[in-house]
Amino acid sequence: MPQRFLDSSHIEYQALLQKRALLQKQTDQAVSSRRSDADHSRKVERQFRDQIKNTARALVGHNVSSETSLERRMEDENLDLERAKTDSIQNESREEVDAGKLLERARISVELEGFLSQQAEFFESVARDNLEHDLRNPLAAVVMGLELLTLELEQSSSTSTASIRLLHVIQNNTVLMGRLLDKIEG
Amino acid sequence: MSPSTAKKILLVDDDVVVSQMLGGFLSTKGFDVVFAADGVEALKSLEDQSPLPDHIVTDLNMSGMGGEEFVQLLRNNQNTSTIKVILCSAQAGLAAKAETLGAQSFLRKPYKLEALLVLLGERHSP
Repeated sequence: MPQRFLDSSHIEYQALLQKRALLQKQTDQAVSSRRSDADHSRKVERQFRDQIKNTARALVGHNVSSETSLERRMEDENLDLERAKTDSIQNESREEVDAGKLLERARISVELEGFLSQQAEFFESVARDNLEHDLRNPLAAVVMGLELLTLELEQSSSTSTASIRLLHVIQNNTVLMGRLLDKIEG
Repeated sequence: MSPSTAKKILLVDDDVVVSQMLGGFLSTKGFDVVFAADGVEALKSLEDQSPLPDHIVTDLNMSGMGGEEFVQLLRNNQNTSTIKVILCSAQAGLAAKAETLGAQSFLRKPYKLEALLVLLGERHSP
C-alpha cells in the first residue's frame, strides 16, 4: 500500500475518528440533555402524578370519609328512626295503657266525687237539722220565759216603762233569731 | 174556774224548766196540770189518773220514749184514744206526720203561749 495512500487514509481515518468522537460527544450531550429533560419531565410528571395522586387520595379520602360519615350518619339515622319507631310503638302502647289507666282513674274519681258529694250533702243536711233543732229548743225556752216575764211585769204596777222597753228589745231579737233559724232550714 | 170544770192537761217533756214554766202559766189560766218526763212516765201516769186529761201536750224528741211512739200507744189504747194531743217539736214540716200519728195539732218551737191557748180552746184564733 503506498505511503501517501496510507497517510491520506490515516488522516481521513483520523478525521473520521475525530468526527465520530465529535458526533459521539454531540450525541452524548444530546442524549444527556434529553435524558435530563426526560428526567425532569419524569420528575415533573411524577410530581404532578403525586400531586394528582395526593389530591385524588385526598379527594377520595374526603369522599370516603364523607361517604363513611354519611353512611354512619345514615346508619345512625336509620337506627334513630328504628329506635324512634320502636319508641313510638312502645309509647303508643304505653300511652294506650296510660290512657286506659287515666280513664279508669277518672271514672273512679268521678264516682268517688259523687259519693263524697252525696255523703257531704247528707252530713250537711243532718248537721243543719241537728243544729237548727238544737238551737230552736233553747230558743223556745227563752221565748216562753220571756213571754211569761213580760206578762208578769206588764200586770205589775211597779214595773217601769224602761223595763218593758228592754223586754220588747229581747223579744224582738228572739223573733229575729227564729227567722234566722228558718233561713238555715232553707 | 171551779175544780169540776177545770180542764186537765198532761204535759210530757224531758225539759224540766220548760215544763215548769208552761205548767205554771197554764195553772194561772185555770188548767189542772200533770207532768211527765217522757212517754213511759206519761203512760204510767195515765193509768193512775181518773179522770183522764182533756189534753196532752207532748214534745216529740225526748230522751226516753219519744212523742211518736207515745202517741201511737195512746191511739192504740181504747181508754186514751180520744184524748186530744198537741205535738210540739223544733223540727219543721211535721204537721202532716202529727196528723198521721193521730195528734190533733202540731206546734213548732218556739211558739207563742197565745197559740197554745187557742189550740186548747181557751182563745179564738186571731
